[in-house]
Amino acid sequence: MNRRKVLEGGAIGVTGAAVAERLWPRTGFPRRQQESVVAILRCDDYTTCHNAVEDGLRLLAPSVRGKRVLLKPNLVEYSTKATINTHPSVIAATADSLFRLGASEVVVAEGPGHVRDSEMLIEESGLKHSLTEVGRIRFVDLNFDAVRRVTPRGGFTSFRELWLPETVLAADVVISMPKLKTHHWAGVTLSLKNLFGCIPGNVYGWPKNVLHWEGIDNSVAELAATIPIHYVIADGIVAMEGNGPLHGPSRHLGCLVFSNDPVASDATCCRLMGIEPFRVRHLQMTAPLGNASLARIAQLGEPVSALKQHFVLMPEFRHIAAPVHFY
Amino acid sequence: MFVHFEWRRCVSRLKYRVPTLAAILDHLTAAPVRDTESRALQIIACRNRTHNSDILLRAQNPSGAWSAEPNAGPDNCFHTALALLALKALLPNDPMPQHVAHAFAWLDSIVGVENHWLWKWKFRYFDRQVRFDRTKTGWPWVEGTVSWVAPTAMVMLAHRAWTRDSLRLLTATRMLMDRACPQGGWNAGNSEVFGVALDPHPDFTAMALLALRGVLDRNEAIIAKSLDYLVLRLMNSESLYSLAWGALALDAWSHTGSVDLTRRIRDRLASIDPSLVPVRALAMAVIACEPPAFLKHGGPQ
Repeated sequence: MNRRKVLEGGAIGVTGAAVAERLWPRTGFPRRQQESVVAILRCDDYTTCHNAVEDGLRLLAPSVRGKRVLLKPNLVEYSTKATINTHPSVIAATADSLFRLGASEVVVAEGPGHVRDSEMLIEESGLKHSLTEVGRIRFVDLNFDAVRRVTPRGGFTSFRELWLPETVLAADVVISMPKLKTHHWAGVTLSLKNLFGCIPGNVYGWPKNVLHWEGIDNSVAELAATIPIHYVIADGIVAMEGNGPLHGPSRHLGCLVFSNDPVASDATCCRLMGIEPFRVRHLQMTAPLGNASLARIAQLGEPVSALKQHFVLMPEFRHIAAPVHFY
Repeated sequence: MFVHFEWRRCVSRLKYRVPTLAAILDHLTAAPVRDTESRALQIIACRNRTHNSDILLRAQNPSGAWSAEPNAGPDNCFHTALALLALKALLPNDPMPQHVAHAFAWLDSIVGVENHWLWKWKFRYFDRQVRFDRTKTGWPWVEGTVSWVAPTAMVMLAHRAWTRDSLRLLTATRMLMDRACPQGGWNAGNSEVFGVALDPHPDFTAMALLALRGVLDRNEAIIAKSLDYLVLRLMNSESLYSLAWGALALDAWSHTGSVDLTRRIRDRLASIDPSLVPVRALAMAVIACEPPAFLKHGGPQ
């Protein structure tokens, strides 16, 4: 043992500790023990989605009686050319069904990543009209909501604190309602990536660039470990492929996906889009939060194979495609 | 007979509207406010009624910056610039109070990370899907991120309002021009991603147009296309917030479209329950109807 070896050993030890500190989840990482339920319900168009939503919620049997429920749809921006957002009919049908199931309050909340004027967005996208028809539903712009300091629980980013909207933190039940889309930075944008809309733009700006600098996948995993998603209702009636989340062409998939586990839901949605979930980096990272493996998912409704398609992917994400079998 | 009829109609409109705007101002002056943006806009809208800058100054961080909310979130260039505009509205004749100089010193120290050699290198060789010129830099929303349109435009406006010069204003101008959407207008700051032109948004477009007033000529293609975009985009919009930004920008560039937008804002103000409208939207609507000197046509450039 000489001085050089001691110094080398010390350097290796310090580097190893630093790497482990970055990679190893730090505090209170909520790992899921129980099996997950995923229900896929066929629904060909939005005019009939109310029945599908009711059926899906009956299968899922969410515990919402007397609770404050927050619906977090995916509203990015409005375009007449592309199907970007969770369809207003699905959101309204969900809110209506939740009231029937005894929810004391239903709030629709979103903090669009590109748009400061949410009033204009909900007006033009038709969401305001749909929510008014149901009644009793409040829309909260999470970009401008009151914020509270939270300690991130995943250890996937260098954030020591996150300022998150009170409305999200105060909800008894959070339901993520993504649109099934491919994404040019993250591969897919589903219930977990949908959490980006919980970051208040008023604090961090438009777009939520702090998350990009931490790495999109790391940020998705960090938010997933910090903000609990209790249920997922994913809009896969008309989905988006290719250059999502804004400019991809529409793809008719004809289904709604319900789950009590965001990881299981996103893994199932990936399989429906012809994507191998374990090749999506943020799903690899968040796997301990839920169940991505088929063996740990109780599959209800339609089987994946009945509706599965092979979505067009950006060249940067061809590696996440599931193999195509020709029989 | 015709002239008489028009005159009577105008008087009846004035009778109807003048008290309405006053009532909106009454509501706005007393409205509880939490965040810096709403507070700053409220002060600018109610500048002729309130003269107390204490509440805003108490929210200034030791760094000299303002955050989105007092004691909540990181220092923020956009909110700092808005607070400086609000202070100018309250102290129009004060040359440069100490807290204002402190805030500008903080803004001087903040620059988009694309300005760093390492990230310049990254954007040059690896991260090339977003089209932007990394040598043209402005201000980020928060430290440690790249420059974006809204904070850059608001910081430029704050400099102009306080008649403060900086070498960075030139690169900021170039940055705004670089980030303009090909079809005219601005969004948050990404004009083209993966080879696809992204859509502009009215509020970001208006902020950039206000910042570029007096810097570029009205006939510049960027300006002309952006003014046209604003008029077209807001033709059927009902949102007070976007209408107000649009009216301010069109007025600043002496575009006739501002008259129609201002009329629609006044009509909306006459028909709404102000307690149901966010303070920042209501304040913006009042500001659009009665712009302060530093935002209106013929103001300081």
